[in-house]
Amino acid sequence: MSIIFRFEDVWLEKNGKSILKNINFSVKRGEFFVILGENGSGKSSLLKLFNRLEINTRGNIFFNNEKLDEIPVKSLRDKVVMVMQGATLFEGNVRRILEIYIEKLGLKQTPEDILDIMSLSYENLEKNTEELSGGEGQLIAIGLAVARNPDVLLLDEVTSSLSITRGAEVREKMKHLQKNGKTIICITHNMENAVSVGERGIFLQNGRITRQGKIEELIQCFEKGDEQCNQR
Amino acid sequence: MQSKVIYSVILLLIAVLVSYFNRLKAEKDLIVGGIRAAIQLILIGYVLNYIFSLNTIGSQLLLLFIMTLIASHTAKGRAKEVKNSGLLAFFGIMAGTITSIGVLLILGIIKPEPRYLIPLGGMVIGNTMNASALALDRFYHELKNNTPKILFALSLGMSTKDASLFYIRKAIRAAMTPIINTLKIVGLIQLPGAMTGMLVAGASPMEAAMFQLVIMYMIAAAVGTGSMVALLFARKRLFYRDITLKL
Ligand SMILES: Nc1ncnc2c1ncn2[C@@H]1O[C@H](COP(=O)(O)OP(=O)(O)OP(=O)(O)O)[C@@H](O)[C@H]1O
Ligand SMILES: [Mg+2]
Repeated sequence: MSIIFRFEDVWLEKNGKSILKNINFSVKRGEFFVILGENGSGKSSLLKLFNRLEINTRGNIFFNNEKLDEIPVKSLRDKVVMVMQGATLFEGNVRRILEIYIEKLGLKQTPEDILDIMSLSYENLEKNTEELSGGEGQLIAIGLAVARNPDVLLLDEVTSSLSITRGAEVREKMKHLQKNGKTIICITHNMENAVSVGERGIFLQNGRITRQGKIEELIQCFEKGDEQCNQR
Repeated sequence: MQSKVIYSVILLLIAVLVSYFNRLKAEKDLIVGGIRAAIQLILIGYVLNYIFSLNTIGSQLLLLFIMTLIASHTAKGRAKEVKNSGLLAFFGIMAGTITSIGVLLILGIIKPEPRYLIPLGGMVIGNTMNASALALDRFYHELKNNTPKILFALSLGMSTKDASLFYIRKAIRAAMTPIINTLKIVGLIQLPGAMTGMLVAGASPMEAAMFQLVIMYMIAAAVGTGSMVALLFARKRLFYRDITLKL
């Protein structure tokens, strides 16, 4: 498998604080990559670097061997799309809001098509986005991201607000996308999730990668506690 | 008339007495405020006297420019969290003033004379100052409170322009609400200042009413264009290029 993303000595500073330090790793094309770590270890910040929602203060990130900051952001985001946790749809009638996303993003789908992606009921179209439950909003957001048909999907704890069955559906969907050649990079706190879908990953601690490799090894490290991880 | 104005001090003293007998402890503030008001108004009277006697377009524009600078500085204090809000408000005030006064001049509704330019300019500048400060403050807080929504839209590939459209609209609307409300009730409860002034100075009620109408429309145009321009520049500063938010 060829390398799709490569991080070389990447640092991220915010308000004078180093949030990510000396980040070195790469993601292969078509793999299911998992980012693990404690709360506040820098996972979300790291994920945002992949499509430039955050901008690294030092080091280089390569996408298909091209420097990220040399790729026009529009074409980068045609290929690399992120879904974050929580209510992230603009406020308003769901149908109207979906029409706006469709128009502004130049999508071919209808609002119904977007709901079909995660098999949601069309009744949701008549709701206000603020009335959607956390999970419904999350599933529509995933639908929008999938509708963009990106090469790389970035997922930040998208299953944590979903029921067991819905969470499983999302994992199935992602596996299916992976089978079709997509690269999936996700953050999760759920170890079963990580094992069931993930192949390789990194373990973040205080903004540093303390372990990387096969998912089973990472999880052992997670379970044994931080000290043992650092010894390696 | 002028010598009798001095007797109006009695009115201020009445207010001081109200404060004294009700133990409001506002006597000192009232007296200081009263004196400040007198000094400021007399001073501006002198300045205007001078500008009116010069009657050159350059001196009028200079005065308006200074007023714009002071207004921008005031707006800066009101929209503190927005970086460079003073400069953003300056662009807004300039745009609002030039548009509204410009249209009035082109249409020949007013002439480029101090008796028009100075009071109308002052009104426009004051109103666009409030509008720009309000719009900038509102826009900033909308962006801050809706950061995840904006980042998700950007992540999907939306432009910063599209991703902030809702919030630009909300901010302009907030800036225009005061003038919209005023338009609806003007004259029903109290006569607006300019109209009152014209009546006192001897204009006919119809003349005063018509001129007041012009003023209201002028403010509506100024507030709309001013807040819009301030926000367009603000968007450039609150986003990092077309890439991400930079609050
Ligand atoms: N704008 C900011 N200014 C300063 N510090 C910040 C800023 N944004 C995030 N941080 C800090 O960066 C660190 C990493 O945050 P991040 O959201 O990436 O963590 P995380 O691993 O995703 O945590 P969680 O599992 O709770 O989602 C935290 O300590 C956070 O307080
Ligand atoms: Mg996080």
